[in-house]
Amino acid sequence: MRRHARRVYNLCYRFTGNTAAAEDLSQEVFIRIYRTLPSYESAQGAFTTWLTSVTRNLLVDHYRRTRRDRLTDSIDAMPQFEERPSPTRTPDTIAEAAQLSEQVQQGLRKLSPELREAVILRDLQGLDYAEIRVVLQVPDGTVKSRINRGRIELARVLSEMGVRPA
Amino acid sequence: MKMNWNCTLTEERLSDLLEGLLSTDESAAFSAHAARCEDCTQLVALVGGTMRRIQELPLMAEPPLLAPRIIAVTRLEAVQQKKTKGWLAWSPVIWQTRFAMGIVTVAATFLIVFHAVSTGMPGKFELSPASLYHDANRRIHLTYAHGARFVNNLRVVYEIQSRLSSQPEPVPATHPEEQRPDRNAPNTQTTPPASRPAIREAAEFAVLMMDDGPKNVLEPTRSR
Repeated sequence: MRRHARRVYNLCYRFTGNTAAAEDLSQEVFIRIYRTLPSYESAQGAFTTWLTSVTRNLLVDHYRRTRRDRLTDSIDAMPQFEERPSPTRTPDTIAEAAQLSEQVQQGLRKLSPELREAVILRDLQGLDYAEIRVVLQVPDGTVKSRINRGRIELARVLSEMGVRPA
Repeated sequence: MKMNWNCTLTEERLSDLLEGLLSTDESAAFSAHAARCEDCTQLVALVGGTMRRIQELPLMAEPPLLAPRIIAVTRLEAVQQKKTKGWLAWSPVIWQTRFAMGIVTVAATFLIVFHAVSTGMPGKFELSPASLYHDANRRIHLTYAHGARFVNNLRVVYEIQSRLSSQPEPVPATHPEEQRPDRNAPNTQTTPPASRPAIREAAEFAVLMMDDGPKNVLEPTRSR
């Protein structure tokens, strides 16, 4: 549950850019999962894909619901990165990752919702094209096109913000 | 056949290029184009490098209380679902035909009995046993009085009927217009005698006139 909770929370945060909303939405996702669990069939796809679909549907609902609020959106507290002890993860790299994450979040906000969700699912959640097609319920060509355009736009926005490519 | 590559294609196929999904011919055509197009080279480097950095970002840690909160809420949901199911567990039973028929029969019986006892819904204060008793007592006496009056009226009807039948037949009256053509002709036309249906009609009319309806049944008997 904890693994799925983290995944759902990250997806919610990347889409909303708000920790409190992400927390509430994550909770809502799990309640909905609990209610609709009997309707899940493994033939439809992996559980993770189904979970992502449910999350995405709730995010779309939330996006429509809060359209007016976003006009007066305030800067939200940054989420914390997992500070797991690791030889490759020094305090410097953790701080750098946190800064990059915030910049990515700001860049994602400038994308349209369609492009944003495609990039988040592909590059931040690591879903493959087939899974994204199931989640977004659009044809393969549309998925590829959205990911492509989203990536180019995000790279340009981040470049303007001073983010150097690897 | 050599493939032509241009800057538009670079933008359109950028993701395929970065993920290694181009065919050999397409890769060769892109390489040939990128060798002489600085914009495309820069674009590929920018998008590829940025995506690599983003993809390397670790997942953010969820708030420490999120998982316990989700578990608590889910448990609460489970309890509520159980309660709801418990409350509605009996509901499928009443949709069985035999139970539904029984319920309908009982409802119809109550309706008929209630309609027979009272003309309308009893008021708030009519539900006390004393009120119910007095009401029932009044109704019984009304019914008895109505029946007694009906029998008395029948007596009058029979009396009228017997008097009418014992009267001599009336002298037939001729119409002046009919007598005009021949005044000297013998009078052969007569009015028919009062028939039995006419007598019955007169008797019924008498009953109607005497019967004041159930409201005045309890009034003191009128002297005849």
